[in-house]
Order: sequence, then C-alpha cells, then structure tokens
Amino acid sequence: MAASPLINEDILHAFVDGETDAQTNAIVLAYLSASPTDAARVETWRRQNELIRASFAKIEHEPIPLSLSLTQSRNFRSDSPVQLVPATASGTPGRPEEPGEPAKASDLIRLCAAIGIAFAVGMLAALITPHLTGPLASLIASQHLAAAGTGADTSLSSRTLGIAALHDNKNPAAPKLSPEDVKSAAGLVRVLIGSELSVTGFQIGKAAIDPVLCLFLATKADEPLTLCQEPIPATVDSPDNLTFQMVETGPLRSVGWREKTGRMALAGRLSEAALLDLSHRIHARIEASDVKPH
Amino acid sequence: MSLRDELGLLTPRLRRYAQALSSAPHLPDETADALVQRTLMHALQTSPSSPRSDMTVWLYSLLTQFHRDAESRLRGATASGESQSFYNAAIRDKPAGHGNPMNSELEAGLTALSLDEREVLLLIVLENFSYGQASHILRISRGMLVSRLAHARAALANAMGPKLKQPAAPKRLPPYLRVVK
Repeated sequence: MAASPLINEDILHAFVDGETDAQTNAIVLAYLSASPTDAARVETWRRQNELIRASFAKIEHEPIPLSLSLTQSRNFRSDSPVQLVPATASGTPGRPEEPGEPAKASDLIRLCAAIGIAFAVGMLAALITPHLTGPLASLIASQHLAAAGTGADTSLSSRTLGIAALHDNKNPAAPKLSPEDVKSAAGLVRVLIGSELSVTGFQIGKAAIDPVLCLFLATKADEPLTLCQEPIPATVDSPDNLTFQMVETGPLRSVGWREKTGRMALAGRLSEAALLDLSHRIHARIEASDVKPH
Repeated sequence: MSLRDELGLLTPRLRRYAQALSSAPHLPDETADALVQRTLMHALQTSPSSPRSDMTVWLYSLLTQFHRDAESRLRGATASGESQSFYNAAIRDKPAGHGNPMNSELEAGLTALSLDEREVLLLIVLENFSYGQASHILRISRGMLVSRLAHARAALANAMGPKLKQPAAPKRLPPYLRVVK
C-alpha cells in the first residue's frame, strides 16, 4: 500500500465496511483517486462484499422449518377454545399474526384437513418421507438418560423435545378443546377428547427434520406438553413388545414409543414417572380407539 | 415485543449466518438449522421473558460458540477416526456450488479460510455488524478483528483469482467506487 500519513490498511477496510465518518471518507476518496493500486484493492473488497451478500441473500427469505418456528399461537375464533399454531412452514418469517385476529372459515377446514391428512394418509406419506435421523438428534443425543430403542425412535423423541422447548412458554392458561370443536377431526385429537389432556394447538411438519404432526397439549394443571407422531416406514418391522424410551435435556424430557398409528413421542416438564404414566394412558386410549394403521 | 417475537424475527438471519459459517449455502438445512435450534432453545431456556437489550449480539455470540463446539467435536472425531458426525457428513455431501462458477469459487474460498477469518468476514460483510459489535460477538479486540478481516479478504481474493480483480488498475477513481454500507 502506498505510504500516507493518514491512510493505512485498517482505514481502507473501515472505509469499505462503512465504519468511517464523512470527513474520513473524503480523505480516503482523495487518497484512492491518487493511488490506483489501493483503489483496485478496495474495489476488490467491495466486490467480495457484494458477492457474499448476494450468494446468501435468498436464505433469509426461505421458509423457516417448523422446528425453528416461534410464531405465536393465535385464537382460532374470538370465542373459540381452539388455539392454532400456524401449521405452515412457508409463512412469512418474522411476521407473527396478531392475537385475536378474526378467524376464517378456511382455518377450521385447514385444521380438520391437516389432521385428517396426517392420520388418514400418514402411513402413505411414509413412503415419501425420508427416514428421520436429524442433526438435532445428534445434538441432544449426548444427553440421553436412557435410550433403549432404535435411533429412529429416539430421534423423534429428541425432535419432539426441541419442539416442546420452543413452545414451552406458551400461554399457560390455554383454553380447553371441546368435542364439538373437533367432531370432524380424525385420529389422535379424537382419542384425547375426554382425557385429562386438552389440545391447545398443533403443527404439521414439512421439513425433513420435523415430525409429521405435533399436538400441543395441556394438563389439568395447565402444564404444557407436546405430543408428536410420525409414520413408521413400511420397511420397519413393528416391535414385539411395547417399549418406552426416555430422552432428557435440561428441565424437559421426552418419552418415545410405537403405536399402530405410527411412532409417538410425548415431551414436557413433568417428572419421569408422570410423563411415563401419561404416555401409557395415551397408548391405552389409542389401543382402545378405532384409529387404525394405514 | 416479546422474547419469542424477537427470536422469531432474528431466526432468518441466524439461519443465514449458520449456513454461511458452514461455507455451504446450498446444503440441506439440517446442519445449520440444528445450530439455530440449539441457539433458540438456549435463549428460551436462559433468557428472561422480555428481550435483552443486546439480544442480537448475544444470539450471534451463542450461535458462533455452538458452531465452534461443533467444529471442535468434528476435529476430535476426525482425529479419532470417526466419521459419523452430522457435521462432517454435511461437509462431505456438500454440493459444488449452484452451477454458477462464481458461487462455486466463493464457496471454495470461504471454505479455505480459517474459522476465525470466516467468522469475522461473515459478521462484518454478510450480517452487517459494526466492528464494535463483531468484536463483542467474537470476544476479541478491534485490532484483532481488523487483522483477521484483512487476512480473510486477502485469502479470499487469492482463492477466487482474477474473478474479483480489476482488469487493470485505473488511473482515476472508478465512478462506481463508493461507500457500500
């Protein structure tokens, strides 16, 4: 770099990065006009900046995977006990919908259709759903307390744990779901009606690392829980014995098991015994229901 | 604005930074998204319900540290002969650009940088942080930051060859040379 009493390389970098004030900018510009070598270097850096920004620009506008979605729940209808966690991963990121926004009829259709699709066509979807062993499982797997099952089984538990953590501080006073509100909804929601659990929301996974369907539940004490289900690929044999696997990180833990309807995981802040007890109860209700494998 | 709102707004930027850190902008999202998810989970579990005044800097600092941890684990796994880390699987499967030679060369250039240099370059150029904020995120002095930035730019220019260089040094300041930030 040409010698100058005022300009050094640090100032040139600061100039390119907008760190210099107007007075310094004028000095730098005057210097560069007389120093073509440094002007070319500065121009190279500027072109690097543009190229880097352009190369990664589209990522900011991609749909956010549901496992990263923090969009607030909103009331389904001003007088409805149902809360929806927006199910689409393609929603505009960073623009949560306002609570209390008037509901649309299409929302109810979406709820019913989404649950129906997830359960009625869930096993069919397994044919095109990749086997899920996401990186989150690797991140959390190091904190397993017990993992007696297959990697895929604990993977769902780990991912459910992540989703539960992201929804852990939802409104604790979530309203209850009545049978009338979901009379046309199929599968698991119907199974849970009448149990000690209320459904406060749901999400449908689309990204490869998301389970197919997650329900957000609340106990009678308004303790939030997350119940996720994904279909089991047809190539995977059903286990002879029912087994429950526990995964834990921080205050949250998750229990995973297999049902005729798919692979299940229940996550929350409950004690290990309480979570296992609830998992057994859900299993019993599914077994006693008319929900069939697809 | 609640903490969740704040985190939601920052998530797209965090994804961009996480993917750029891995020098593989067109990878399947799992690797970078796992880092972002870990960052968000940590923020939700450790932060008060209202956003911190330095929320953005704090989140980037967390993500940077988690990425360093992953890199460190990868190096350890590689040294011990393991090869099943999600991280090196991601690197191994990295596609060679977008069919755009400039993008391929940029990816190769970023990959060739040391992690320290890549962090500085991305925080300043891609994420538009000031030198002061980037120094805080990386916990280094401003002098160290500028030094790493200079090395990164020189290495990137060398890696990308003539693609970024002017055909000839102009005698006068090009009319399009301007402050870009």
